Amino acid sequence: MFVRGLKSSIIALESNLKNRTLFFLLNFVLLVTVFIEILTYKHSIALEPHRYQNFTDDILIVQMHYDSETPYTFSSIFDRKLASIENVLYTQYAINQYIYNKETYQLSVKIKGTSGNFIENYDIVDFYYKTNGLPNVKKNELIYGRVWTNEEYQKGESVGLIYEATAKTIFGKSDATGERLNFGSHSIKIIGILKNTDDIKNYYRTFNNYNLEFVVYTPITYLKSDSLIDYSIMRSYNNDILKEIITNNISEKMYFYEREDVISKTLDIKKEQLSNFYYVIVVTLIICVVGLFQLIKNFINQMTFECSIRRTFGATKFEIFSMLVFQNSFVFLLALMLAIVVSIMIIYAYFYFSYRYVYPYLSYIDINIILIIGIAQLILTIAFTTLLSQKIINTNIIDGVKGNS
Amino acid sequence: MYELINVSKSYGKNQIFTNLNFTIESKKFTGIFGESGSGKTTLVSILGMLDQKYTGNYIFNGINITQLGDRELSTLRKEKIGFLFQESYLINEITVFDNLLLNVLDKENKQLIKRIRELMDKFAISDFLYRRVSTLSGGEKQRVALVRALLMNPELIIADEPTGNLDKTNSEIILSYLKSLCLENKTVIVVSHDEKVLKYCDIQYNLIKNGKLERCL
Ligand SMILES: Nc1ncnc2c1ncn2[C@@H]1O[C@H](COP(=O)(O)OP(=O)(O)OP(=O)(O)O)[C@@H](O)[C@H]1O
Ligand SMILES: [Mg+2]
Repeated sequence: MFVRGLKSSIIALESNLKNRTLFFLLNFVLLVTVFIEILTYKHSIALEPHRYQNFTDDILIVQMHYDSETPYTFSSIFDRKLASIENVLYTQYAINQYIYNKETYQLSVKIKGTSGNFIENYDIVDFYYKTNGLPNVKKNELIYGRVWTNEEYQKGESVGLIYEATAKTIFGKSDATGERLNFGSHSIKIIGILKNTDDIKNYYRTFNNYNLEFVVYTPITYLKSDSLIDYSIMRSYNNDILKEIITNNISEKMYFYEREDVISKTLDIKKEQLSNFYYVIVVTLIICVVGLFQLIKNFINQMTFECSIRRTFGATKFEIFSMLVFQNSFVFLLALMLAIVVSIMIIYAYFYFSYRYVYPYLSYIDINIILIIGIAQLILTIAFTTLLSQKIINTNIIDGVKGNS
Repeated sequence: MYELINVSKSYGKNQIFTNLNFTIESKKFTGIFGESGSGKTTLVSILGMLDQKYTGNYIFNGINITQLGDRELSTLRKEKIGFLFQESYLINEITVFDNLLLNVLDKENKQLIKRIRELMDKFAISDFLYRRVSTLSGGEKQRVALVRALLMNPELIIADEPTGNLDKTNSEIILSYLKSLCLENKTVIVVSHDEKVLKYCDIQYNLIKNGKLERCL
């Protein structure tokens, strides 16, 4: 019986597909609107703080390390229970998980204060996340500009070096020497650009998905002068050297970790944004459900005549019912697929033009949301069609034909 | 034999039939005449099983159809009854062909296509098979609707004003075709105002305003 119904529906659809164009289009527009609304809103939350490169220092981590000649010594940082760093990282990770469900678009800035000749030394890459404590090391390579001079180092000038990818993202060009990087209370003059290696890319990918993390290398002496920076200190195993630097250049205060307030503030903001996000989703979905109901209602009303004619010439109630359900679902699925493609295109275009520099980092759009909405809508379509087709099916045939029902 | 027993039908307070007993004889050409609004269409809708909202019984060749389920009723409608409405009631957006085979799964059924061709030739509309219905004239549409009614070779043909939109020649062709069906053991019911129909009738009824049927022939 079911197969019969299905077969007749397919054939019915074949001859009637053009009549469904309007339904299809409306459905399509509805879905695109919902997808775009939800996805852009979601991404906007993530990207809003960075829209005009107005980097907040909410999540600013200042790492200083003294580039020792034996970088391996850093592996014992966590052995020494410098818990604050671990906490911070962990908390950030949790926030991001909570809000963005795995993806993060947090744009955090790391300032690494180092001594003058760090280029010749190794930088530490993902000492913690990638190798379970065994540091992975690499060497930086200068491609534009210069390293700071001894004089700049002594004076603690606000000069810095960034990676090429950072330069491209923020300034739209590789050679950003001479530009100024402004964020928080900082205005750092870029004097050199470092080459990105795959290592670096992987580093920033895997490092808690901190896709948009920028590192700025400044003379360690520069950091000394800024008491506003929210900082944590990564200690070197090579404590003697560190101590020497600290006593020479940095006040004792900088040992203390003062992040608690910042973190809780950040959490509050995110929670607020998150509740707005759900609010937007709920409102959009309600509109969408009402819209879908109306669409199906109109569509089925338009079908009354045709169904009654079919009944006149022998179609059973079940055939009519399955035809309506099948046609609506089929048209809906077409609309859904097209809507997915079109909305992703629109969203990408939107982000390309409004967040041009961040665009390459928008590596994916949340397909889950689209799928969930799509499936939910399909179920609703079938449910509404079932509900609304009862009238058409049970109407007196002659009334349906004459249009009195 | 198609018998209505104690059938009452009303639209709200407008009582059309009260305890109507009425028999259509098989293999005859029955004409039903009457003033506009007297209930002719209502009557034939009941006979054609398109109207289920009445009280009383309808015996269709010995089967009491008021007790049948939807599937049996649909099968009867599909195989035994050909209905021609007062208006053509075709689906405008699709072709004549699709309209004719609306409920047919196998669109390449040779027998059916042959029959369509035959009938369309007979009513001089064979050129229109793949035209959209909306591009046809009223008379052409009415003839397509007639083909649709006759397509399944039903045993009971009910035609509400079949000649309303037609010229004299076409009317004659259609009426004589319907008449010839009676010789093939079909039963034909024609509702009409048209004097031309009179001469084809084996049996003739007049429906008067209070829902009474008077046999005139
Ligand atoms: N669905 C309906 N709801 C209410 N009243 C109706 C309905 N259908 C028909 N009527 C009324 O019932 C009466 C009979 O209608 P019917 O269509 O059977 O007349 P008819 O004899 O076919 O007239 P005509 O020759 O003009 O076609 C009319 O008064 C009409 O107004
Ligand atoms: Mg009438």
